Amino acid sequence: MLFNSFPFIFLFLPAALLGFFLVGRRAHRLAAAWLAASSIFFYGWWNPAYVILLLASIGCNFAFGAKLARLHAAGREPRAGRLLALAVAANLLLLGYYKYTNFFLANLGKLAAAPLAAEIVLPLGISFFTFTQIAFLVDARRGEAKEYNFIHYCLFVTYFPHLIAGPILHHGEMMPQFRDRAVYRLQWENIAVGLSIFLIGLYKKTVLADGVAEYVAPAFNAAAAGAAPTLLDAWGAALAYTFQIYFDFSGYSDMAIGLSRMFGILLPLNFDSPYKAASIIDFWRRWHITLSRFLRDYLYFPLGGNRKGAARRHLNLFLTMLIGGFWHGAGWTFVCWGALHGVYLALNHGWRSACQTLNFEPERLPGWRVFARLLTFTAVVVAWVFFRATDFNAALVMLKGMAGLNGFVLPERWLRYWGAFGRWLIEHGVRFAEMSLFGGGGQVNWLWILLLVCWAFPNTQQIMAAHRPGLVSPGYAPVTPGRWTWKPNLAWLAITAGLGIYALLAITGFSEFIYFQF
Amino acid sequence: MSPKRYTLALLVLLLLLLASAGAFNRIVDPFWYFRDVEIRGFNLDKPRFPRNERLVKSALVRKLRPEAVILGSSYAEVGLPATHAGFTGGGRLKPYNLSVSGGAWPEIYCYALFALAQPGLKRMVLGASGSAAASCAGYANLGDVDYAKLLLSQNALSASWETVRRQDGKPRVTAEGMWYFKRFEEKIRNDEDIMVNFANELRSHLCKAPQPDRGFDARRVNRSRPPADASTAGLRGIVRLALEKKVRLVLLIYPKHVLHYEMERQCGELEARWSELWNIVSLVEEEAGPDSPLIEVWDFYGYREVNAERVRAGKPMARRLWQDAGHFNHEVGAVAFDAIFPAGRAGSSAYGRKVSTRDFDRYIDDSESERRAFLPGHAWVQQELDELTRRSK
Repeated sequence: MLFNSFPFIFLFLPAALLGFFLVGRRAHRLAAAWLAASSIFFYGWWNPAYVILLLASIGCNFAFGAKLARLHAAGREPRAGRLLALAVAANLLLLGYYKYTNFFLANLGKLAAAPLAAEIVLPLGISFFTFTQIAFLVDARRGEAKEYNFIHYCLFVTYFPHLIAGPILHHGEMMPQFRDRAVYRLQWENIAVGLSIFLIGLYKKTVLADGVAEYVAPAFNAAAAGAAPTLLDAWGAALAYTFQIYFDFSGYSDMAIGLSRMFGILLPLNFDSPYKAASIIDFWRRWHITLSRFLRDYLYFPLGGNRKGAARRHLNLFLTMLIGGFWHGAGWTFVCWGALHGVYLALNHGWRSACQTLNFEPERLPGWRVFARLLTFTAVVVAWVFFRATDFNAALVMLKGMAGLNGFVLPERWLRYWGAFGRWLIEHGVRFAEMSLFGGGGQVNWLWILLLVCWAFPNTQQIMAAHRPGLVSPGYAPVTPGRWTWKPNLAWLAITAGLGIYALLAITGFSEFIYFQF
Repeated sequence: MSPKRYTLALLVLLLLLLASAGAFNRIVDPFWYFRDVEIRGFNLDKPRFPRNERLVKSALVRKLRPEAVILGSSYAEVGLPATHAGFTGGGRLKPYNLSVSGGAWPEIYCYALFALAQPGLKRMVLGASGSAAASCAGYANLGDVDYAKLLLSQNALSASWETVRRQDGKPRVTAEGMWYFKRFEEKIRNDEDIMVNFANELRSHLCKAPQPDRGFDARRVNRSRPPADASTAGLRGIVRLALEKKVRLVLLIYPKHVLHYEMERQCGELEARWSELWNIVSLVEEEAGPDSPLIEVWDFYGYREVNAERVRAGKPMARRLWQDAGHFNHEVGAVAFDAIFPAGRAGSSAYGRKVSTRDFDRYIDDSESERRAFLPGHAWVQQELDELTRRSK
């Protein structure tokens, strides 16, 4: 079941909400169980067979966690360490089997010159519920996981707003909320705020992301098929994908946060206008915040973080991003995307250190911020090419196109409107031709409007800042109110209803979220 | 406003807006699915049907249960009249044109399997354009109706609005699924515009150096038996299913404009055309026998007036037989149907030919003779072809 589907919006969600608050009046624990059962139903809608896998994973991890906590409390650290290693290995093996078997088989097959593949269907959300539970195990071993209520734990893992594509939750921020009696009482403010956030997210997904999506595939598919997209084709598709993935994923996160808020539960914020970032370091503080947080706490810090010198810090950053890339997908293009961001981050940190050493403050230069934002944005777009391309060669072909090495052509149709200017361009060697990979004026309009939305508009949490839209992770920027702040008044009612009806009417069939595959 | 009032107002507003959109789309019925409210000047013309035909055509076949179906690409959709008296057995059979514009063979193949699986089907005209089997996994929902798309989508809403706004009396599509394509488009005003249409259509068929004096060697037509492999499995499957369901199946090789035929010849593609025809005919005879009353192959190749309308004829688009070198209008299709289904106007058409392997050579000879007799009296063919070649480049 997808958030952007009529059965979810008009059947599942009202039933889940109604049941939760009706049961919640009588027994909190039962209401939590109802929500967990609803979440399992939501998961099983896609493939009931994998519900068993999910429940087995939850049961085993809960048992491991409880045991780890007991060992820690008893001071039996070496044994706890061994058990943790075993539990984490079991989780990684499960993830590895479902997600990476075919990747390894395909590469083995290449080496052996014989195609190898296994028929494995990737369980939805496995990367997310594996990471969530690994964090729980590590914290149980450290004695930082405080609560061992099975229903709450089950709800923490299966909670449907986040189960499929995050945000990646931390038990420390969720369990206390499940314990809180106030959560189980219907509060209209939560419903009003949650519904508004959900509708904004739905609009981002069904109108903006799905709207620009049609401009992505032609050039990327052509590159995969061996064609050579020209400069405009390649940039058009790369930019379209840049916006598609942002509005798709941040739309999903908004929907998740909004849905959860309707139940009175705050989820961590996941996006903070990442394309406004003026550096790659800044970008990763704004993009998929809960993943960055997980990678920082459970990978980068254990690797040594920045405690072992500059060189080791850069290596740790690179490794963290490399693994982060591989987490996204079982393919070399994802590894490459992660590695590229690892290099970006290392360069960015290197640049900062150099500036500090030289006492140079580039931010003081006129236009620096615009330049830095443009440079960051361009670097991110280039990296997205690897993320989207079906294979490494296709990515290189796209990048060649973006570098102008496949030629520069303008759409023939534009000649009709450009008159003398068009003729002047032709005289100066510019070629006009029919372009099947570029959507012309329609695509240009989509791109500049979405760029404007990304750069000039406040994000969802800024709009909702007065009503605490979500949890801010420690070490991340607090939510600052934007130019427009949502209030339950007539103007916002009209705006939200307008966005909502537009988004609902844009739900046309099956449109998966990009992050479902991860 | 309290959060409670805001929430309730928002929910009511959303539901009201959604219900209004659904009701409006239901009444206007822009995709001609429901067919119960039809008011002249309000919703009788359906300007957005053609662009959305894949949404409803197969579902309409399931709903309307036609007994005589036409299937193919836009050539069939534009040019073959489902209401032809002969095709409908004098009005006894309920007809529908299930063709979809831009439909390549894999899609047509899946549509054909779907149509043949419907109960009550008695005859089918299939615009043959391939023979391989295709995966129909992407067409598993053929025949299903997506009410959300018909009633609760932006597409439906904008289509309804356009339907109500554009009731200008210009026919665009018939209730039986035939499409008028560009026939009544206002922006196609003169011969020059039609020449552009022809140039666009021929662009993909153009070779680098057409040779006006290129000969045709009938010996180079491949007459080997069609392979019994995946490349012919699709057409074989359709023929077998038609035989099993006792459906009269006519495989129709689309007529083309003489300019198209000349382009084919001058580019050296004519042998391939005849080879493909041989392949289809011999495959059908292998599967159904040489004189099957159920399965026939009809070809409408020919240098005759019905295929030879001048581009620079000074006729308005609406009164033409051909919209471009491939899209013929229903008047041409009617003449073709007169030949295939002569019940209505018995023996009135000598157009086209039911093809068999037995008289294949004679058919080629006759066609060549026809061309030799035709061209001297129609010098415009080469002139217009030269112009088109120049433009298509």
